[in-house]
Amino acid sequence: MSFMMRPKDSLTLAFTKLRVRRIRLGITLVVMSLLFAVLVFLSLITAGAVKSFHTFGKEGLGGRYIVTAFPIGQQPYDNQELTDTLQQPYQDLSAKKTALAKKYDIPYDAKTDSSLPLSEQQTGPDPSDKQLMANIGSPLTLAALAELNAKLPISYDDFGAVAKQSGAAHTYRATVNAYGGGGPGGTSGGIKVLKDGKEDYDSKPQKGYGQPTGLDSITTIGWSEMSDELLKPFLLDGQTTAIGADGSIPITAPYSAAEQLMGLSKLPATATSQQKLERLQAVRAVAGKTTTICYRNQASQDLLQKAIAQIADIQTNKGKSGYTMPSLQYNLPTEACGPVTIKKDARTSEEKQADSHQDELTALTNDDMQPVQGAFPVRVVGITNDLTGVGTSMDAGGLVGSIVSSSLGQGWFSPISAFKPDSLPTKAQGGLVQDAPVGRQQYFAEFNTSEAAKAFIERNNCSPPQSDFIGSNPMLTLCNKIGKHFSLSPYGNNAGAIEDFQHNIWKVARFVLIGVIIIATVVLMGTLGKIIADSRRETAVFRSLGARRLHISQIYIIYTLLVSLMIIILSFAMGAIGAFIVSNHLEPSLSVAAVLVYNARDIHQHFGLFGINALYLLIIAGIVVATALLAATIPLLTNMRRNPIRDMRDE
Amino acid sequence: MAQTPRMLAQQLLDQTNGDLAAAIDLLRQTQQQSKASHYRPKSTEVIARFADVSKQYKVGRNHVRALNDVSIEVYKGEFLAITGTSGSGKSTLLQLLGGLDKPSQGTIEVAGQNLAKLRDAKLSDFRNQTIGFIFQFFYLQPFLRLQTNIEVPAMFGGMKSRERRARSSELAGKVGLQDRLRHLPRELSGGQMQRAAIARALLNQPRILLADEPTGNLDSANAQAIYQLFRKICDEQGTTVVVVTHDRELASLADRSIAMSDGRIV
Repeated sequence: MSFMMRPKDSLTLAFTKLRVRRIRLGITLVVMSLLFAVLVFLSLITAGAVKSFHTFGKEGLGGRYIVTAFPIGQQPYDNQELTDTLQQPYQDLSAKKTALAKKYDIPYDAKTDSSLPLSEQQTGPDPSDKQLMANIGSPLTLAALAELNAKLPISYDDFGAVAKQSGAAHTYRATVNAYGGGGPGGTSGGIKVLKDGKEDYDSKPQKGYGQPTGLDSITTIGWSEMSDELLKPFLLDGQTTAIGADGSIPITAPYSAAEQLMGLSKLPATATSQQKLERLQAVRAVAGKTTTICYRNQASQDLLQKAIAQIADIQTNKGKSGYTMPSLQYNLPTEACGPVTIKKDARTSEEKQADSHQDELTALTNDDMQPVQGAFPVRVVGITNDLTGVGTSMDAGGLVGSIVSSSLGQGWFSPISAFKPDSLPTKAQGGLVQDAPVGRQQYFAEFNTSEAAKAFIERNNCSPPQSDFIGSNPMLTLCNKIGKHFSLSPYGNNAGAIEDFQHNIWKVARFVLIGVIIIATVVLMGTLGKIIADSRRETAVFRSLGARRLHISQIYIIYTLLVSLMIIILSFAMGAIGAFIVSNHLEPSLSVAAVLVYNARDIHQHFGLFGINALYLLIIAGIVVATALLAATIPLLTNMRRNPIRDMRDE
Repeated sequence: MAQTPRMLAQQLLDQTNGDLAAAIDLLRQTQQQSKASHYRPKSTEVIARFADVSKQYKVGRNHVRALNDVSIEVYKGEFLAITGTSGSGKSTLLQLLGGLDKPSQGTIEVAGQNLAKLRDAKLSDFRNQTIGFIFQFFYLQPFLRLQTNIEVPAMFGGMKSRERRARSSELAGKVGLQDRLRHLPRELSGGQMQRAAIARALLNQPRILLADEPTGNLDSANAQAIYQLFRKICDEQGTTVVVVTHDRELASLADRSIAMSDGRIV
């Protein structure tokens, strides 16, 4: 007698089990296959997307190992050191302003003056919960911040030294955009693209929130100075980072802005992928096209707004009795981005003196009172991804855009080399990159290998948990304590994005997996249990013919494996068909989005979602088998323990 | 004075108060007892021995005594019939003899082995190699062709496929099914199915063939044919055949017949 049956014999007997309860088994197979098809589908889609990410990753900075760094400097808020530093200048200035206001008989309350370096702010529900806090709009605050930051090892040179120590091959730098809520040191004033060479007075220059797409996005998302080296891979064919012969500053524009510049209206959401591809081709023709940016400093903007409001007021009250025309009247600029001029100055000498006194008082805390404005040409040399993708965030473009953080980024970028000292574009940028405040500095270090880049991040990245953020200037305090002065993350390389993508997929898949295993085990247990229970008499006959318990187990284990195999074949087929359909459906729009996000040279490159990862599929097949065996265990053990005589007698 | 058949008939009718059927039954019993008292086995070698065997089952809260102190010897190569009414314990005796169950009391020795001492795997091997089972309802696998059905015990025994194919073909020929080997059980008659079951039971050349009401599901012609087949197996191969039946007429075809009632041999 042999310990085990021959595999062929157990297969022969197991096959007969597939012939019983065929309807129930069929339904079970379909249900199981559908469940596991979801996993197969996810696996194929993930593998396909990763493959496509790798393919597209060769574009742009995809093949390079770059780490981006933000220096951890002094915070303007919750910073006792800064508040202490500003106490004396605040006392001096508020006393000075109070005295001057008293002298000129100007109503003034230092407590509410936000141009002073400190102001009293409500910190709690109780009216007495007030605290002196730094005003980031004050030049003195910015100066104090710069002075404190200068004591920290966070300069570009400091970063370079740390990076070199870790084997960095190159370091680069950039500024975080000057507008769009640029934080401390953000340039006051504003820029806007002159549409058709005209300045639109109806729409106010935007700061903070507003349209994130189109030409207005230069104000809302921002315009940054970027290392020439990092910008070059994103240039459109035939474009360079050099200033044009016409003095035009090279600039990369968001897709929607480029579309607008080409005079193209936005494609409808129902546009086909072919239309999107054609549109992309048409938009890429923007390469080399020039437009004009208008810069106005805060004083110029304020004056322009004052003039606009005054003209509207005069227009509204025209002919009304009792309305007194302003004594100082302004003209709107006669040319786009020109200065506001005085139309009529009928002020009395007293009025003039009062205005002069007010200006004198304001000048104590504002060093930028003279209106400065001007226009300069920019030349589109590249296209960046829109903040929300090609269309809405829910479409394919949004999906790719949200996954890929490895492109240049969102917004408008110009090469550092294009900014010359004291030029108007440099003024509009808030200064040269080396003069930008710490809060707007961004550094990069390039390594030869992914491992070196990862090691650099692990060694030097400071990212304390939010829960530890207690007390004054917590981030800086915590990072100083461990001697790490930069916040580091991978940049430009696809690996991070792919890892994130896979991690996110896994976050969803693990719950699906647990659910599938539980449901599958229950359903399979029901069916296998029923089939095994139905076979009690047959088991008894086999036992009487000399089958060992092990032989019976062998038959049912082989049977379970056959069922598993059928589930695997069916689920793989269903999952593959599903993934193929979805991939085919989304591929055109994903391809367009990916071409755009990665600035791919070949616009006909495909971003498919169908890929095979043998390991994923093996794991799923293993789970199917394990689940089936698990489901068969209890019914089989119960069946094995039964006395064959009892089963025959029951018959 | 010798008793004439007429006198015997009259005597039997007197004993049964004129009931003809009961008289015929009484005549058969008398003949069996006479045969038993004059029985001389072909071999004196005992192949199976029951010594004071009792078997108790628990049915719900009650204990049912299926066998009660049974002692019996089965000789090698004999054709033994066990008769009795339903619930008399004959099937239990057969199952104990085949090692399908263990006695509550007493010892059973079959082919030199004390079955109570065999562990489950050894008991399975014993059934596979020493015993051939035949059931009333044939219990052929409905989705296997006849030849494969016949070969099932050899699958558990690990016999090489070429050898078992040859043996199954030979046995099918012996039971008259050589032209039905490719058929499925549903394509066969009841008699053919039972003959296939006999071939299956004989595949591993068992020393004892145990049949539990083998003709209970067959017409009388097929039943006769099956008994003749048992006779042939017993005579030609020297296989011990033990048949449980309630049919006294068929039992009379055996070498020896044992009647059971209430778990005892009577």
